[in-house]
Amino acid sequence: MRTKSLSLLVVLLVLSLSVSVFAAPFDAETFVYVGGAGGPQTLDPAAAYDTASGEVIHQVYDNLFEYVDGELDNMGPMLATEVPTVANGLMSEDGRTIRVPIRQGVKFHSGHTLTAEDVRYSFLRGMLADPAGGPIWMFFEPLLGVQTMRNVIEMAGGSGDFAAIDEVDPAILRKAYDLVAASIEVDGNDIVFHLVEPYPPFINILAKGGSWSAIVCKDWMAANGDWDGNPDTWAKWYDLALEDMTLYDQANGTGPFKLDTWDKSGAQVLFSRFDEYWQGPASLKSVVIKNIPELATRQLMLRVGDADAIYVGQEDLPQVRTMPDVTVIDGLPQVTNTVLFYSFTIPVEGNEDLVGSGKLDGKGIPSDFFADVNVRKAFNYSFDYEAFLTEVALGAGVTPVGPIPQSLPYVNTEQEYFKHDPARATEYFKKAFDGELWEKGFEVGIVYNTGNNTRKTALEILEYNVESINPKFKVNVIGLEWATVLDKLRSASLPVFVMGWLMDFPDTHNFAVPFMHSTGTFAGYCGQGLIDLAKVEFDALVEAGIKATDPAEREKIYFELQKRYVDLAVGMPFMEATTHRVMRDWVKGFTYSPAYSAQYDYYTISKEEK
Amino acid sequence: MVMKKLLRNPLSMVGLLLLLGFILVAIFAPWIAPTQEIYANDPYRVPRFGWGTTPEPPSPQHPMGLTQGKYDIFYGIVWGTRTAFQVGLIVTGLSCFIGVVIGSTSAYVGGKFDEVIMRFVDVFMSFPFLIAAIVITAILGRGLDKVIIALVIFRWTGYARLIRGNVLQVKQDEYVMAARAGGVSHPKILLRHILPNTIFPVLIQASMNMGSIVVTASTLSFLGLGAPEGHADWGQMISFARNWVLGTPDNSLAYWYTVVWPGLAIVLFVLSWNLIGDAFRDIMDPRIQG
Amino acid sequence: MITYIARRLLFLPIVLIGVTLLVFVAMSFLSPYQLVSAYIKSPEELKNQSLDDLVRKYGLDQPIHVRYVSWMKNLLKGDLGYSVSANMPVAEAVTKRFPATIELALFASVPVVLGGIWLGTISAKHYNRPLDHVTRTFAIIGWSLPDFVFGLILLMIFYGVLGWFPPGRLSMWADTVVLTGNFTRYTGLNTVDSLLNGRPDIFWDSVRHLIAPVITLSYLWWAYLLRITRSSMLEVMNKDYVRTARAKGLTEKVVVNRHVRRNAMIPVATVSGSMILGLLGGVVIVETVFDYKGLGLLTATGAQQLDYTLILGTTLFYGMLLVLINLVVDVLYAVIDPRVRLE
Repeated sequence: MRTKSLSLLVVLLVLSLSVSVFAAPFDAETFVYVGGAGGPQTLDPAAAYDTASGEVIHQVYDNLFEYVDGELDNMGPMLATEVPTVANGLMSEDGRTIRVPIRQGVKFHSGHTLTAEDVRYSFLRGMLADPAGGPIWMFFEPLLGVQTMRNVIEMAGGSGDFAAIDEVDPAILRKAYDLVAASIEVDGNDIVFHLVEPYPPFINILAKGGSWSAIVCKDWMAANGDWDGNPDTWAKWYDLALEDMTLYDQANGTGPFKLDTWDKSGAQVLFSRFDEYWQGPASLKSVVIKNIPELATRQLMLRVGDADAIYVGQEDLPQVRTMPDVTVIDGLPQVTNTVLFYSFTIPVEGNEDLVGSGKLDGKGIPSDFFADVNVRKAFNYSFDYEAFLTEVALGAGVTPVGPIPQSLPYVNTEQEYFKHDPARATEYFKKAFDGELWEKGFEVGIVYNTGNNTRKTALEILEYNVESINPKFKVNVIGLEWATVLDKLRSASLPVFVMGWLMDFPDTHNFAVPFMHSTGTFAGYCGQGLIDLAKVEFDALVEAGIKATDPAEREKIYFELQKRYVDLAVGMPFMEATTHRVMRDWVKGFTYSPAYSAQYDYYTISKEEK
Repeated sequence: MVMKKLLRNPLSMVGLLLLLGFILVAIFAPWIAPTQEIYANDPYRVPRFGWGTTPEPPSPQHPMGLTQGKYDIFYGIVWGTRTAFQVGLIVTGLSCFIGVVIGSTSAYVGGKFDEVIMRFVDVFMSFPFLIAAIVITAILGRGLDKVIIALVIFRWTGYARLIRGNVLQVKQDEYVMAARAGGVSHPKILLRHILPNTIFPVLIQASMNMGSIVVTASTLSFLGLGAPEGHADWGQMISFARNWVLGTPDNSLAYWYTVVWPGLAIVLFVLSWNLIGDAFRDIMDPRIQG
Repeated sequence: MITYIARRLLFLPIVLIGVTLLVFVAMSFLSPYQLVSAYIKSPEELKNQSLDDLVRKYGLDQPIHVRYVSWMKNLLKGDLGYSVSANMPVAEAVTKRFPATIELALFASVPVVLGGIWLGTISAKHYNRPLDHVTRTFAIIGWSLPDFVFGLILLMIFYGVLGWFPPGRLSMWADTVVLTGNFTRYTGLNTVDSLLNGRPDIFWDSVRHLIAPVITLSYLWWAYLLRITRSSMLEVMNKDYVRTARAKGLTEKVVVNRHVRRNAMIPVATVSGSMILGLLGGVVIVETVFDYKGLGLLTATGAQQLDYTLILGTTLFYGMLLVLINLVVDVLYAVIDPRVRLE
């Protein structure tokens, strides 16, 4: 028995040795990127709003404009031939009419040639389809002054509150179509956008990096069963489930790579080079984007050379820094902000895990706990920004000076901001609730979504510092599943929560709205108390900020907004993170832009064996 | 008699000693690894010594080193002993109890009743445990108590099937028949006559499961379920090692302490229960006289 | 026997309905805004979306019984629904992913059974002597080491250092052939399909990817089989006919191989069924570590994202599998052991 199994083992070893001959040799034309958990949700530019989807769309499609050398303040043409400005006459004096000449002779993967009609179709289709949860609000806001297609139907005289679109009168649908269609016109080889109000970042929304503004091919779409441009039939494609959309898992763009297949069960996307790319073919022949959730497995693939680049989280970066033949590029600037929010009006009932007794009696917090500016300020002065930046974030970023990241224009970097100051924290805690809080103490549950250890640590730093101020203060750091966090956000039930915002387009407005406007993303999660405050303090200024075309005027408005935000300590922005890439050192030609949601732009990349 | 035999067998002696050691550690945890003042309200919370992630090797202050997130391994192991006993005893006790009550009643009553109960058992057994645990955690939230609930819900069926088979065999035996003819009430027959003759395999099984529950807990921690992060729990301590098992490129063993200490605790704990279970089995089975 | 089998099969739908009801009852505890997390999977994806629009679009606010009825109706039409987390219909996800898992389980069952029986035999032969202690301790260590620890160590040695057994199911070149080349998928099992397509190179490649996860699974399960083999061998060894054989002067080797082991295999055969089920349900972590894209990993991810159509589909599938395998085991048991009667 024993000899038998021994011989079995020998056979096994010999077999594996002979098998290792099959190991792939260095392949200079194939690039393998291994991402973490979670692949794309959809490949449709009108629906995709997550980075993994943007990653794929980025390689396959082009946009009208692109950032020259990836720099946010240097806009250049892409599928357009010129960037419209008032100076070159393509933008009207009031900034509301924008003419874009379209490049001629550009080929789609399908062989069709790009026309101005394709460009118009791309935007119209996006707006008319307007899938819930998608990015299309970015077109509606500048072009029609609303947020969704439902709003447009209201503009057309219908009710936006329908369960299915076939409930809406066809005449109203037609009118809604006309409203949308009138905002974009074709004029010869040009396309003309009509904006309701001036909207300085409109060109940014159309630039590379924005997956929503990718240009698709009208004829190919119609041939594949999508809307053909008929004004009366568009509703058939309105707000479909992601998987029912035409571009869900196929693509036809003008970009440098063709989509071969999205192998969903294998969690990988395969691309091959588009040889007739209008800027000349890429160096790589094929690209594979895989998703492997386990970090250790990814790391080994990189070490062995089966992966050319992998995803590594900031906190795990030290592990790959020492790897031979591996390059870590870090300190890449991002336009993002991580903020600790307070809920101004916390429901008490059913929320005892977090608010305890719901009263100011030392065993809980009252519903309006964070409505007191002194409490918010005391918390803001309690946090150790320095320790977080150096120990947790390992120096990858900067401490903010307000809700708007400092890499954007119109940020007052001189603004006096919070720092870790126990004395001032004590002072504000004593002032809060007329001293009652200091007397009685409190107990509050602060929440992170399980799995996000960076956020957990941030909250623990806060816990540690607040509790050391007064022994009657109790802070419990509680981990909840993301699904539960989402549910509690909806009802503003989380007294304290941490969220990040990664920009959609590089403009101050893209931060002013979610962080300050009463209808912004985060206001709804912070309770009625904040909404009321925002209406008084922020709304008018935020709305004026986007309409202003004069940079000096915008600066004045956004400086004021920033000052008010800090004075009122509405939230606690504590991190503007940078990002990084981890790749083998045979990867050449890596380019980066903070505007890209894609990790890599494979068009510029080549591989070179040492 | 049993004790004597247990003590004579060197391997079961080892098992007993190990178990005794763990019990002592559990009892004297507050003295072996004193809780820092700031964590006094929750001694099961493992203290962190820094906010970073990278583990640190053993040092005089931290005899077993710090694992990912700078959690003190020694503290986690010591207090984790209590957690291991808590989870193990509650889960095994509860699921054993439920299983025995349902399984034996079902077998004793028999017929349609038995059929219905067994199909009910089938329904519960059809769930892959991990998926059930994930769903339960999503519904109830994360925490050790939820892990216990999930484990009990899906563990009792095993015991129920085991005891049912045994009771079915004994049911027709003469002494049961005699008791029945003598007018002894059904519950009494079940309790006095049947269970004492059928429960041992169940108890042996239970003692073996005691250990493996810790392993299951580590699996749950690996999947991001289980105890909240930072709770003294061996399963979680070892799942912290997942990113560090590989070491560094030039030293594969650079982070050995993140695996070895919690791994050792789990292995010894499982081993002790298994040795005792095996020994009991050998002793109880009169046919084996080695 | 036939009536017994028929009766058990008759109960299959009832068990399955029970399973789905249980899932629906469990899911009814979730609020619509928890279910939205299937569409907004992480805080990073929370942008300008209106949660209410998503709830309305996907009908997440419908009462649970309404959803159950519509789900059942679709099921009867053969439609298991669409899985958001897998990005494909549930039926497709199961048929694409399950072959991977079954391939792994089948390959693993060979060393698990052979190794377990071998270790159990050694242990029983040397009852209460050092070799018994060593094999048992060796097996228990495997059983008590969490599988990701052992799996990662194997991955490091055999992939990181030696470069023999890479993670995944196939190498890139083979994957490209299977996905885009002239390759017919008959069973979804790479080893079988590659042979049927006349591609021995792909066969070797898939075997090579199976070895490390198979070793991990084997080490995990050896303790289980060792214990059963050991105890049933000990039981048989003390039986009269074995004593007689020994008294006749047959060598210990012959006694063990001819008489003891054969008879001791009956309980081993019966646990094999539940073991295969255990292998199928317990591969989640091995699949994670070795990036082996099987059903276990898919279902675990889906469950974490509260993708209830996927949870329903896979539990239904697992339930069916369990009932059938249990039935086969019971029947086999009756065939092997004439003392057992199926009632």
